[in-house]
Amino acid sequence: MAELTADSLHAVATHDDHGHISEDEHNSNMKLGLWLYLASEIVIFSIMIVGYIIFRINEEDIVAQAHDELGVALVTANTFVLLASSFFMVMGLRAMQQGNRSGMLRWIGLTALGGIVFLGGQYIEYSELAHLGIVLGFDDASAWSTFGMRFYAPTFFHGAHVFVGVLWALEVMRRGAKGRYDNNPIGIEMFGLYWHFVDVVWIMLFTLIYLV
Amino acid sequence: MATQHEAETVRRPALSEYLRWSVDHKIIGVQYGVAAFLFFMVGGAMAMGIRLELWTPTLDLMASGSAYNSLFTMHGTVMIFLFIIPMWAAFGNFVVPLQLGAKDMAFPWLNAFAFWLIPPAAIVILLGYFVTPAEAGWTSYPPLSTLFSGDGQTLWALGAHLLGISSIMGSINFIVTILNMRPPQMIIWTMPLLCWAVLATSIIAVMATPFLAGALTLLLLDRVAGTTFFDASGGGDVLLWQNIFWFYSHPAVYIMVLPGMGVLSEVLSIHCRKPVFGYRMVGLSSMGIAFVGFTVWAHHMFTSLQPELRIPFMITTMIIAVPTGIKMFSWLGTIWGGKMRFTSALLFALGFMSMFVIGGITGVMLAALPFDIHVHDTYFVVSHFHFVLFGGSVFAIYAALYHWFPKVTGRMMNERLGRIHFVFTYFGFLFTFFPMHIVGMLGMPRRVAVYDPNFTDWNQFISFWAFVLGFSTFIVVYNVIHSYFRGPVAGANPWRALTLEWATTSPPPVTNFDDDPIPFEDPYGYGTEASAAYLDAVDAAFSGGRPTPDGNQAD
Amino acid sequence: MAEATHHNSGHHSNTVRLLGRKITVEGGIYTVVFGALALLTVIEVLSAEFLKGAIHDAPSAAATLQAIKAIVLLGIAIIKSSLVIWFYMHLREEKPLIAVVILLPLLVATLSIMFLLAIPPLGYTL
Repeated sequence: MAELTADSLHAVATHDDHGHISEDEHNSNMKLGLWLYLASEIVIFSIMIVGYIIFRINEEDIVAQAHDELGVALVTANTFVLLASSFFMVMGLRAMQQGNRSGMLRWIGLTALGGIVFLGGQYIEYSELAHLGIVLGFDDASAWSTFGMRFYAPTFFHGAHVFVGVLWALEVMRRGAKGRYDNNPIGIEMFGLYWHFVDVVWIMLFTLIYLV
Repeated sequence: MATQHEAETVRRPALSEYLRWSVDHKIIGVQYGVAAFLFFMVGGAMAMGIRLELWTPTLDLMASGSAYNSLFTMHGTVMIFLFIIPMWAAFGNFVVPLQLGAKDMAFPWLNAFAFWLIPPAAIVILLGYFVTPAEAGWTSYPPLSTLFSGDGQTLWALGAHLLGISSIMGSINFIVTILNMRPPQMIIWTMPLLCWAVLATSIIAVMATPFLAGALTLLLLDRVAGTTFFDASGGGDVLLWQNIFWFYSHPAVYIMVLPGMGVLSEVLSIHCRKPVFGYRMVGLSSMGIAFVGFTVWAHHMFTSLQPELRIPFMITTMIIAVPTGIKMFSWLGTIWGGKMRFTSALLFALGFMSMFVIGGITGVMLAALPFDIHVHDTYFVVSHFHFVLFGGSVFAIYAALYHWFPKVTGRMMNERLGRIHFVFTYFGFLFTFFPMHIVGMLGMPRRVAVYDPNFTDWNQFISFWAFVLGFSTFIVVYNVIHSYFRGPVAGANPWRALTLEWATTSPPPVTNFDDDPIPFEDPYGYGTEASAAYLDAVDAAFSGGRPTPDGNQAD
Repeated sequence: MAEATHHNSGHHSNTVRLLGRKITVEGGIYTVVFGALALLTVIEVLSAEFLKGAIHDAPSAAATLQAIKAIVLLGIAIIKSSLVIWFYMHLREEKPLIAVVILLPLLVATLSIMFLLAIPPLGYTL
């Protein structure tokens, strides 16, 4: 190193001369960043879920009664819709990676539709629960007492994520229609990661809240 | 490509650029730093109010105990959420991309967004002071924070939520930057130790801050939507909050001090002209602290947790002293036999070592269950965490300020004022907080405005030195402002340091480096011929790259 | 540069090798995974209903059956989640770092949940 001089202090730029990072590096950064975001979401959801599980263990009768009143038909249908939308999502990404822009728009459109149908199903379910007198707040007079908040908090939090996902899907379609992803579908992949994650959360919520 | 010529045209950003939206990590770093320091002054003023109230054993300054409660609640909240955590984001933002030879952070836009969440959050939190203020302490234990607090508590929770989001976004940015954007020559084992520390901090922040977000969401629901997650009379669980809060807040203690430990390794090595002693172990101990930090939270709950869980948490808490001890001995080994240059930065670093070791030892004392139950909720605890947070974090922040100010502004700080500042801060701090150990062991409870008159002498002694400590802050403010305009020109590498942030002009150009810089093989390889040659090459490359005297014009 | 983003184009084949047989279907592995997810969901709901009935019929063994039910259903849910993460989220093509990024918070969250479930809700029980 002793022969190091001022000229050799700086290497010739290896990947870039214009202050931008390369596409590969950009994609890799975006993906790692999104995974880290999902990592933090896992922790938030775990807090939402633990409130329910503690209740589930301590108040078996109330939960059993809620399961009987609600049935599993509607929520199973909803689960299928969300699983299917996750499938549409990955097919949309696949279409774009194969250079099929219109195919991508079709699949992502179906994804958004799946999200909307899921939210509709959740609305119907909440209406039914409201008819049963299950409210978010603590109601000493009701036999349901504290079931409502334990149930609504995680499911509504998840529903809000679906809602954001639907908006994101529409934005992806708007940009995709302009050809934004023709060369680099990373934007679709990012949305896909988010959407699949929301799906995974639902798989766990469905099992923990409605079935177990 | 003519680096030398371009380097000469570097200029300082106009001051107005710091007030605008900017995606340049150097601008954002200064924005974080100045904003956080303003909050430090606000929180410091509140501390002065607390000490003024405690001058006499009766209520005199405050109208009621509630007013005192809201004062220390705000003091804690401002200092932790609005000062220390954003302050480390400031140094992380400015220094980390430069140390990695990167042109910016991985997500510049997200970086700016994370910063601009802080002003609205601060406004929301401080606004709470003018409605019915939060009174539950910065820990906001229910039922104090649910049943006995006003709208200010709701605003507090909203603001803390925003700050949590900001912290998560900033940390994601740091992790991606550090893992993905190193130059090809720099493997993770030749990365500067500040980057190691920021990486460990960010991992904690990404995995722990969401706990706070979840808990605050439930708290907000309790306050606004009528739920009873934390209200035992409504089937809720009060301890749930304590557990989740400390899931976050104990790791957050390391969010507040780990970057300071990284700063220490940098500053001690550079100003003592010696390689860091045990580089690998220091880097790994940062990770060790991060992970053990997740297993100790319940020591905050020794008096509320069921007894059979106390011993396990006592053990984990003592274990975490081991990686901290590794760092302490590494610093001692770094200083040992070094050519110490007693700059202000080094003085504050040494101040950190002497004060933090006291905070660490009282930490082990508090981890010992029988002792903890004796001093639980007394001034001993107050003293302990101020030794860690002020004697630790703030001393490290000052060390970092004196160390990197030349890089940020292109000007040296005034060393004489720096030493005066150090003397006032050091003795002000020591005589404010050390006696609190004694009054704590004598049994003075914390968080009260009215105390036993037997403690009056001690409290007046403490308050006097607290005012000295408060005064010392104005010295550094004056020093910063004075040096920004009148300080001697720094040049690229005033400390002759080997890390990459010094291998560019001061302040660095917009793209940081005109060409991709080559890091020296060992970031702390001082004292070898090769490192001297490298440093001479840096000096030669940037000898012309000095800012003009008025600082605002090119050429 | 763009080629690098298509590094996974090898997975765009419509033919999948499954249990030693070649299956050709539009969408390839993605469609197969969706089929598996749907099938697992049906199995999950049916076994939940079956076990619920069994618990109702045999109150004496309710605790054991409830534990079996929880283990079976959670097992299926974890398999489903893993399928989505592994194939749809392309974890199988990512660097090991990404797996660490997702496993660490899962570990922290799981341990936290276990802890909160293990302690009695009202804490101090001397």
